[in-house]
Amino acid sequence: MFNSSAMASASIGFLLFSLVVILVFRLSRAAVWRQGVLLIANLVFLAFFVTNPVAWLPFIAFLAYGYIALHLRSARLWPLVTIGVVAFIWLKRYSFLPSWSFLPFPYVTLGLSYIFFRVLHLIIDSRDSPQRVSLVSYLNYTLNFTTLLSGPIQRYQNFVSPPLPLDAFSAGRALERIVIGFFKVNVLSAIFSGIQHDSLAALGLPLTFESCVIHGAVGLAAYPLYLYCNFAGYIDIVIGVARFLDIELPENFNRPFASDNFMNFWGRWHMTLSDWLKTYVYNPLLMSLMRRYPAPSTEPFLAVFAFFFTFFLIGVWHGQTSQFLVFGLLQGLGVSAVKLYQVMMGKWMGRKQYRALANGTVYNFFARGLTFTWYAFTLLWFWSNWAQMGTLAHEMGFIASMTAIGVMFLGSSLVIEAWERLRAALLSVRAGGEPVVMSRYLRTVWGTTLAVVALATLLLINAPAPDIVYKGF
Amino acid sequence: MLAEQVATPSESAPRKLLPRRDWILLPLLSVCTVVFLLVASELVTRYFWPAQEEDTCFANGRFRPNCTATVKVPEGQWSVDRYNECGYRSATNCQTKPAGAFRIVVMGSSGAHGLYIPSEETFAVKAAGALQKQSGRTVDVQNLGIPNTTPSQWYARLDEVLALHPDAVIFTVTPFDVEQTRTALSGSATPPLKPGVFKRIQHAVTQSRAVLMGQHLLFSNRDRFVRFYMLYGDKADFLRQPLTAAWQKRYADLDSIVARAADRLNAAHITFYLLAMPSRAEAALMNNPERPANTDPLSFGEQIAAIAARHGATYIDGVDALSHVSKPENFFYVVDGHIKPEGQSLIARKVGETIHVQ
Repeated sequence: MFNSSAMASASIGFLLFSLVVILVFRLSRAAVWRQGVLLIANLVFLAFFVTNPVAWLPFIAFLAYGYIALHLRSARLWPLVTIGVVAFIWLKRYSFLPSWSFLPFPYVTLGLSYIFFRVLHLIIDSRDSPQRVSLVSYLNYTLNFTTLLSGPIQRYQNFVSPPLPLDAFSAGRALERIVIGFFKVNVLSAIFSGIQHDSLAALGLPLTFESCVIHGAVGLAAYPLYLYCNFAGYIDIVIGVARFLDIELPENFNRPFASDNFMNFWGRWHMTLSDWLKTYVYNPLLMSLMRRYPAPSTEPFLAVFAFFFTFFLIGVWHGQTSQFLVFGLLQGLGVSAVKLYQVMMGKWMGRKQYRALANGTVYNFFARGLTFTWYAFTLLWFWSNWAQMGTLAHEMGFIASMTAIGVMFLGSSLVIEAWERLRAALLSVRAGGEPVVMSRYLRTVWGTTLAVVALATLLLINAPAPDIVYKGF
Repeated sequence: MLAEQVATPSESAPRKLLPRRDWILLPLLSVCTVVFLLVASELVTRYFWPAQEEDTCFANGRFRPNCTATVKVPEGQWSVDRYNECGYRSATNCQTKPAGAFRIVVMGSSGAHGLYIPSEETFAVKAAGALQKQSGRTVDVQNLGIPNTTPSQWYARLDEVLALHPDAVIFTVTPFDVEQTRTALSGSATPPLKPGVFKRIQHAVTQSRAVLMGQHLLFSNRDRFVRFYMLYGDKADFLRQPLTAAWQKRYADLDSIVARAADRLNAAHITFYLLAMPSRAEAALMNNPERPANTDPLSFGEQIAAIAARHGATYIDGVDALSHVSKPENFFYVVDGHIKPEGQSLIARKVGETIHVQ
């Protein structure tokens, strides 16, 4: 019933589908035409995944709730939001809910995690905005095929803002984004996934202490790199495709591994998610807490609590099981620990001196490695389950595990520093006022190279495995 | 990746027009990049992985007598093939059996021939050396293996074999040989069709050294290789349990060929051996904790052993020879699929343990 492989965003199928939509979309500049084409494209895209109408009923009901709720401007906000949150948790079958309460038939939850954010944002912001949201606009916004599966989370006001004209430069940049994204997903993320898989498989064999540490460190470190290439690559593709549809999607990543602390990291990783939660959870929660506890001395600690709660929600949103609960706790712990540290260091050293320390080369060197290491560690609860973690812990033992984390910390500090220096060096070579590497000629060559390598990789992995050949006979 | 988040001209800044020359220059640059990458990758891989896959001594289904050829598969080493006066891959005279020597005739396809492997590294020569040391008797081996031949073609040469007055005959059987059995028996009177354009392009791509290197890198990983190999239907069915009707028929056909050969060899008081030589796919499944369900890498050897037992032949378990080593799939060339010299050594040891030189 569920067949999504052909429409995975990094697939040739998705690109061909997007090309058809773009060509039809651009046949006319009329708003009615373009809205209609997008709507049909979004519905056809959904149909690729599931054709059974019954499976769509809960999904449609959730969309209907959203549309009705956003038009009930006179109704109280929080009950409406609560209905949406409860419906989301129930439809996603969170494990703390009793299983007898779930619907007894298979149904679609495709993209529901992101639709949930879009619907809530519409309901909350509609209180302040006099703008009427038509049904077609609502459906195109919530079901936008470029952002349905994995975001980014775009605000409605940006979605309906006047279309940006597409010129040769923006078309070229959009195509470049698609190629880079395609390469990240089909080549880089596959490489990192393979490295992680091989390292973890090696841990099951009899190894020396040193080999165990190296495999453990590599296995842990490879996953965030895989996740970044996979997720950021997908985002690159959809940003590029959307640009051809005159939609400017927000960026979702900003060199996250260059972050010097975990709070900064979440300002650069899945930015639209943290931005949404900052607007609709962190800020209101902090305001509410400050009203309740107005003493200035409590403010930093209230902020710590608000951070903890917000990032705990980020973790829990990612999955329905107890592992994601712990994942969320660790995200919250990481961010609130950074906030507490900043508050205390500011008090102890003075803000100016602390800022000077935090901008130092050696401080940054270790801070980046620590940030990466903490994130890689927390991701254990993201990609594995309790049984796998138990097996890993047993295979490695406590001392090897701690040593592996230490090795990963030092290794990642070195690699990130080397990469940042290389990047700065390349960007420092300038001609005609811009870095040479940013020239459209060099980028054309680079983009073409990435496209050829990505296509060649796709062709190779889709070819049958070699068997005996008799070329000379 | 480098460009990520580097400030690019804002969409709201005054629009620049792309220079007219760029409408030609940029696509041309792209095309030139593609051509350069394809040509460069092919040249570089051909430089680092030279090959001479055609054996120039091969003509009309046989090797020319007293001929020498140099061959190399891209993944392997250079090998000099010398053929004696009968066109066999043997260092010794074929017509005159040395006095007191124990003569072994090896038959089969590429596995027996030792395709792309120096003669001294083949299991036939190595086993002969070991047997000679054990027994103190001269052991002469005549290698009649011809790549891409089938068991029925080996049987068709039995008169030639008997004329050599062997003491032992080894039929070297690989899964590929069994797969080809029915093709050879049924025969095809229809000449092959001229390949279409798409087939010719496909052929050209498969001849590409860069593609081969990519395949080598990709399929060096055992799990990936197994995953993709098991996508084959009939070709991989010999690894699946229960055996399909097609493979049962193939084994039955092999059985009838072996039966006829055994009758003639037994009548001539020649010891008949059946050697099962595994394929890379089998090796990759051995000792593999992630082996797909309903697969059995030892099944091929068991079938050959049963055929041998039914007809009074002695079974040489080449499958077992590889099942006790770590990563047995590494004893085969990744893309070419043939067994490497290291693998031939393991087979040779098994041959040496099984054959009794009296």
